[in-house]
Amino acid sequence: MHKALIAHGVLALTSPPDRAETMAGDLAEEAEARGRVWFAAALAGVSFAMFFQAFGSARGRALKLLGLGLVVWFGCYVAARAAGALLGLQPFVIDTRNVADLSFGTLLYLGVLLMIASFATGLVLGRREAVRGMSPVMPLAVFWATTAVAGLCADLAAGTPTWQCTLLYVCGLPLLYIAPLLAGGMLARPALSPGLGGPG
Amino acid sequence: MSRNANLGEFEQIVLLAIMRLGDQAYGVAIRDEIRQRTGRNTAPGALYTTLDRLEQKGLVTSRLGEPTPERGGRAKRYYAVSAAGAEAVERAQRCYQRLLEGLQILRKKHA
Repeated sequence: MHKALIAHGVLALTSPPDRAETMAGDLAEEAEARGRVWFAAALAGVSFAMFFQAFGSARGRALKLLGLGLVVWFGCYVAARAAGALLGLQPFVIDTRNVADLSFGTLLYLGVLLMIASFATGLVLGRREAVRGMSPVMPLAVFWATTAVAGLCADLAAGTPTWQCTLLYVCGLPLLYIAPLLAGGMLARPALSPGLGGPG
Repeated sequence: MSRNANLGEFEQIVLLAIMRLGDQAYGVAIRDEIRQRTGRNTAPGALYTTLDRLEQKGLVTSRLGEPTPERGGRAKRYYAVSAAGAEAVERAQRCYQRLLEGLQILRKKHA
């Protein structure tokens, strides 16, 4: 039962709601015989395939949404930093060149601001029209995911990966950028998620 | 658009599997049918994007079934090949036959 719910939630981000429902049912049905590993791999595969199909058929609109998302995200982040400075929480300019020198409080503060900026971006983008059934937050979410993978690979290739950077790519980008963005996008478009609290 | 649609190999396989399954053609059954008949283990993502494309070309139609408990309350989507789809498969097969005519490869292999 929960496999269908997970699959439905994930696939609703990349496919029209009725398609997401039937594909989620298929994956849940087959997962009973094939197990969890197959289910996770199949879910990832179907999500990527549906994303690239939607992206390929409306490349211009998807890229516009990505550009808009980056502008909105940057605006939200600067606004949150300015609000924090006005409230006297932290100075507006924080030297982040050496992450190891920052205090835990400053790191926590920056992390919360990144989450707020990403969530707000999800709320703004989520109200835009879907791209062939794909959630309008997906181009930016995939951009962040690609950045994480590329950053990690570049670090490893350079041969000098620091634990702070590795932590940022492996946990930071998914937790601080992608998850709040998707949550904001889902909240802004409840009608896209039938069976997940939306009217269907 | 569907009248002269050219079909790729996998599109033909999917259309033929749907035809074989009749009114029981939904995602899992189509994958099983392809596996049994061709030995190919089709990725679910490849199947769904192909079905989507065939539907857009007007070569298949789909309808929703009833939700079932073993699928977490999710409905099945049943597919059927349209007249244009059947015609496209037939045309593609005729092309293969014409290309094979006079070639010795099959005779040698089975000799």
